[in-house]
Amino acid sequence: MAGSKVKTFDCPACGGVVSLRAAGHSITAVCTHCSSVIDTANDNFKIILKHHQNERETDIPLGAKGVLDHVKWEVIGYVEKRDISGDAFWEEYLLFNPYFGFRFLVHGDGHWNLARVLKRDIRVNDLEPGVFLDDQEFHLFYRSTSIVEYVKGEFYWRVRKGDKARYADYIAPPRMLSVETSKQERTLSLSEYLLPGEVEQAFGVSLPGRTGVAPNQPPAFANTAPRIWWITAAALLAAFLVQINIGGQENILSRSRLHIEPAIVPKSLSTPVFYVPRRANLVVEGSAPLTNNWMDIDLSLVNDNTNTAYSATQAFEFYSGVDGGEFWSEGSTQGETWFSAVEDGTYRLVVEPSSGAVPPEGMDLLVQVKHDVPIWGNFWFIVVFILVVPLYVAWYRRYFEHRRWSNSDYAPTLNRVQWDE
Amino acid sequence: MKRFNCPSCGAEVVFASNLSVYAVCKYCSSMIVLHDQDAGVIGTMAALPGDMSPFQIGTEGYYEGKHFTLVGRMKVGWEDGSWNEWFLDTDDGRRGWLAEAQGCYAVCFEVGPPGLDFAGRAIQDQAKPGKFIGSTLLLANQTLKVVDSKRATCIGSEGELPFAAPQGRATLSVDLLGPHGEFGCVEIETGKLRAFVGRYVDWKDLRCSSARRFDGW
Repeated sequence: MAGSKVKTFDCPACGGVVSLRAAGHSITAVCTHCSSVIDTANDNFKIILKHHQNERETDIPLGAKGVLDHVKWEVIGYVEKRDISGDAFWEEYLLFNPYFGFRFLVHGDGHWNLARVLKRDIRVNDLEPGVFLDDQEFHLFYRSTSIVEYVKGEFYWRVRKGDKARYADYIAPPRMLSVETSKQERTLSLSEYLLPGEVEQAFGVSLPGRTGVAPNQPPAFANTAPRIWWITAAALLAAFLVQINIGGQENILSRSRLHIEPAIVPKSLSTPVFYVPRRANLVVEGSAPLTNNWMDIDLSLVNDNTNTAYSATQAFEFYSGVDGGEFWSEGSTQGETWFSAVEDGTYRLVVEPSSGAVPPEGMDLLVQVKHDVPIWGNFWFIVVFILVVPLYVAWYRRYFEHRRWSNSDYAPTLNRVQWDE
Repeated sequence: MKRFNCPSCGAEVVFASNLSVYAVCKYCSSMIVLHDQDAGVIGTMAALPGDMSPFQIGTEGYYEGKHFTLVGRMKVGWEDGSWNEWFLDTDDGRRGWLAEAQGCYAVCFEVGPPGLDFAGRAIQDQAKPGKFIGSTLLLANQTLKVVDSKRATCIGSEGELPFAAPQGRATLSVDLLGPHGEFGCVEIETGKLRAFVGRYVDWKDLRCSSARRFDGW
C-alpha cells in the first residue's frame, strides 16, 4: 500500500511544491504559491487557470484540524460564494477525515453550519414550498443562483471562480436541506446549525459575531420554552389551589327579607342575630326590587356583645325604558358591601333605608350576609405576575421568527405580518 | 479457499473467496487468472496510485449485521477522478462489493441484470445526452433513479477479484439512487451487463477492523 504521508506535486505553473491532503479524492487543487488552479484527477497536473486571484486569509486556515460532531476534521479547501443578486456572501470550508469522508463548514453573517452530502433520491418539486426527509417537512426558505468568488485548497470536484449553481434551501431549524443543481448533477446536503463558540473551540480561532437570524437558527428559547410553559402551568395551578384552599371557605350567615313601609321618617330595620365563627371578612349583599327608582341604605353591623358597630352605605338605582323600540336600562338593583377582618361574635345588621319613592304596599329588601368570601383580586394579580415571563417569551419567539423569515420570499403567512420596529 | 503458487515467482497466492478467478501476486505483481484447476499469468500490474482510502486488503467489517472481509480492489478512473471498488468475501458467499467514492461508502450485491434496452439507452445517452439521467429502473424489486452515468477505465487492481481487471478494462458505469439511500449500479462492459443493489452506509455503521492507519489521524 502507498504510505500515509501527504502526497505532494510540483505546480506546473510556478514549480512550487503543493501538497494534497486528500490524495485520490481531490481532482482540483489551487497552488498555495501562485494560486493557479490545477487538475489533479491524474498525474498529468494540467493547469486549468493560471494565477487568477490574490492570496487571502481565511478565519480558519487550511490545514487546521478540529473536532466537530465528535469527529476530527482537517480543513482542506475553501470556497467563497455570492448570491447572484449580490446581497448574500458566504464561505464554505471543505473538511476531510480519511475515515468519515467530507463535510462542509458553512459560514455567513457570523452563523455556522456543518453540512454533509445526503445520498437520497428525495422528491423536490419546484412548485411546492416544502420537501420531506424521513417524514419531517422542510420549508422552502430561499431559491437563487450562487457564483464562486474565490477558491483555495483542494476539492473532490471541479471548481473555479465564476462557477454558477442553482440552489434552494429548505429549513426545519436547526436543520437545513439544500438542493444544488449544476448542469446535470443534483446534490443534496443536510446542514445542522452550530454555535460560533463550538467552531471557535474546535479550531482554536476567534470568529466574527453573529448578525441577524440565520435561516435554520434554532428558535429563540428553543430549549427553555417548553420548561417555561410547564413552570407557568404549574404556577397557575398552584396559585389556583392555594386560592381555593386558603382563600376563604365562603358560607352564608344570614338571609333576610326586610319589609320597607312607605313612611316620611325612615325607619330602622334589623336582621335576626347571626354568629360570626372566626375573624374574616363579611360581605353584605342587598337587593331591592326597584323600577325607575333609587334607594340608599345605611348599614350598621352591630356586635351584640360589645355594641361596637361597623358602618357603611349602599346605594341602588335602576332606570329602564324603551327608546326607539329598543329596551334600555341603567344602574342595578343589587348592592354589595365588604367589611374586612370582622372579629368573631354575635352580630345584627341594622338597615336604615331612604328611598325616592316607596310604593303604597311597601317593598321587600333582600339582605344576605356572607362570611369568609375569597378575594379573587389577589389571585388575578398573581396570575398576571406569573404570566409576565411566558408572555414575553412568547412574544420574543414570534418576533424572532419574524426576523428569520424577513430574509425569505417564502415566509409562512403567520410570519408575513408587518412589525413596527 | 484455494492456494496456488504464482506461476511467475512461485510465491503462494491465496484465493479466499470461491468466486475469485483473478488475483494480483503481492510479491511480483503478476496478474494471475484461474482456468479450471490451472493458474496462468496474463501480465504485470503497475503500482496503484496512492490515495487516502481507509480500507486495505484484509479490512473486516459488517453490513446489515453480516461480517465481510475485503479481499480485492479495483481502482476505477473516469474523467473527473477515480473511485475504489472493494470485493467482499462474505460468509454467505454472496457476490458483494464495497464502493468508495468521494468519501461515501456503499455496500452492494450482484442481482439479476436489467434488460438490454437499459444498456442501449445508457450507451445512446453517452453519444447524445437525453432523458436517461433521472429515469427510473426496477432492480431487485426496488425502483431506483439513474443519477449518474460515466465511462470508466480500470486504473489498476490488487488482491483477488471475480473477473480479470487489467489496466484499461473499460466499462460504462451507471449509478442509481433510492429515496432512503438505496444504491444501485449497472456496469456495462462489451458483451456483459452486471447489476448491483445495496445501500449507502456511514463509516461508523461498517464497524471496521484492520482498517488502514494514517499518521496524525
